[in-house]
Amino acid sequence: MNLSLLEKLKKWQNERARRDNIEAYRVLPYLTLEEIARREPRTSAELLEVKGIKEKKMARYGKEILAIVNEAPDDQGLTFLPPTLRRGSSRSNLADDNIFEVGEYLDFLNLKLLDAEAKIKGEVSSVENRGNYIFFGIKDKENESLLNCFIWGNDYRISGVELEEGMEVVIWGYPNVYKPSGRLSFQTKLIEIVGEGALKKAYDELKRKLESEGVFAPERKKIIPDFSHKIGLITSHQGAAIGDFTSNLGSYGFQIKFYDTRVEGKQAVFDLVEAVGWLNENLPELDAIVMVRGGGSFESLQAFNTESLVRAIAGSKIPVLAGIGHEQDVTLAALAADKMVSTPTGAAVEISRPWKEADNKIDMAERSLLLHLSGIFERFEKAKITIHREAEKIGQAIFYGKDKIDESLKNIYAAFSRSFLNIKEKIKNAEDQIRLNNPERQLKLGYSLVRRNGKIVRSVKEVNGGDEVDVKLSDGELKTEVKKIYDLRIKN
Amino acid sequence: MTKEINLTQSLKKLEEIVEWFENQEEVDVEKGIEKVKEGVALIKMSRVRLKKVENEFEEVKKELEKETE
Repeated sequence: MNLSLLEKLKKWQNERARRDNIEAYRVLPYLTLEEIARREPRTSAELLEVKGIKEKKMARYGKEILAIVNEAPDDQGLTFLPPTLRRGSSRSNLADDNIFEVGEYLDFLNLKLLDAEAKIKGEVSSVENRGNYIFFGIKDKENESLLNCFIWGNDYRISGVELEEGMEVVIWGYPNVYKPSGRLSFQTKLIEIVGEGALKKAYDELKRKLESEGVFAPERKKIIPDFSHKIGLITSHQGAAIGDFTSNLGSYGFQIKFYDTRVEGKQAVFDLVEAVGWLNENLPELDAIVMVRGGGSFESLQAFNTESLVRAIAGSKIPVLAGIGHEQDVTLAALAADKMVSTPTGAAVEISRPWKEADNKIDMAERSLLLHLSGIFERFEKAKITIHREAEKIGQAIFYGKDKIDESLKNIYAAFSRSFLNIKEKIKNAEDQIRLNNPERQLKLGYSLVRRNGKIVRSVKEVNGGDEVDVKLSDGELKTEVKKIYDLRIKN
Repeated sequence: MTKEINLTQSLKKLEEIVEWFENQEEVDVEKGIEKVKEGVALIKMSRVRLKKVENEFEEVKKELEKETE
């Protein structure tokens, strides 16, 4: 790679960016500069082969780039300058004794005129709207000077200024000679309204118009989803807004797709409109688009009060959260957004709020769960102890029951045995008694029964001498007569 | 067959017989013999019955002990 060429290209890129009031990478990406330094294209055809250089860039920067490449010494320190191209890079056009053709010269002139890029203030003197493009003129109030101007319809719409005769404007652009007519016109890129009062008037008018169309109506607002995760961030990489936003997001694993835009002044409207469109087209999966900018004067916030941006936001399929600071009126962009907060920090808080709340809820749930759990464990422990105690009681009851049964069994046995003995004894006693009382037993022993007239005789007084008495023995009876009676009691 | 007699009843009857003897002022040999005969039969039957009940009890006891083991 030709490093000295790359250095020169980088220098040119920066200088050109400054001239165009755009970021350097918007002139040409660094990768394209490297590619040029590698291939060292020396003709338009060769330059067009470089990736990243198409007709548009070619038209805008082609000659300047080729001039640099052809001026630059190659790495061997040799200067290579083909005579056909020397003209474009030479300082004096007369010194070379060179004669242009008309078209050639106009090309050359228009290249030079790029350097005459400027902001011009004036009063609109005429307007001719042809749809795709608009011709208009501006003049000074005091003298007769007139500048013919041209703006593409698209840029006109983005500018969002409805040109009227007598209106005071500032226009941005560069002069250009239109080759077929040879007429010089100011190639206008952007139109601004001049003065706080005019701005305020335009703001009020636009607000009324959009309001009546229902652009700000609550019912057409989309919901910014809770737990938005993929965020498209539109703001400038410079300034405090981006830091305010990112540092207040918290660490919830957001995926931030950052689209760097200008945010200052009217010219920012191009970037902002493009950013909204680009994110919708290329990253439709985004949960939300966040557009942030720190506070500023009415004038510095012009881009956010421009119809084209308001419509882009209102038309965004991805919900838009606006965190645009303001000193006076709320910006129309913020009103059109699906939700608005007043600062970049507020936007960060809004996006991270559901996450933060969920975080807190989870924390609380965890704590209460632990509390409940420990409660459950405690109750478990208590229940365990109670069960143990009850089980022990039951065990004891069983043990006692067994004991009691055993005891009562023993009692039953004993009582039974006792009653057996009792009965046995009773039977034995009865037997003895019966045996003892058996009259036959007495007779067998030698006793006899004496009866008189069938009646048992128990005393001598019951009989008289000569009486007949019956004597019963064990094996028979005797019929006898009483011969003599001895009364034993009288003897004494 | 001798019909199953109730031990309690036979014991009561025996006691009655014994009492009869005790209350007898004069012993009527005929009646006394009859009572003795009755008593002896009762005693015999009671003994058989008692033995049977005792055996039954022993069996129940054995079964109970088997269960408590």
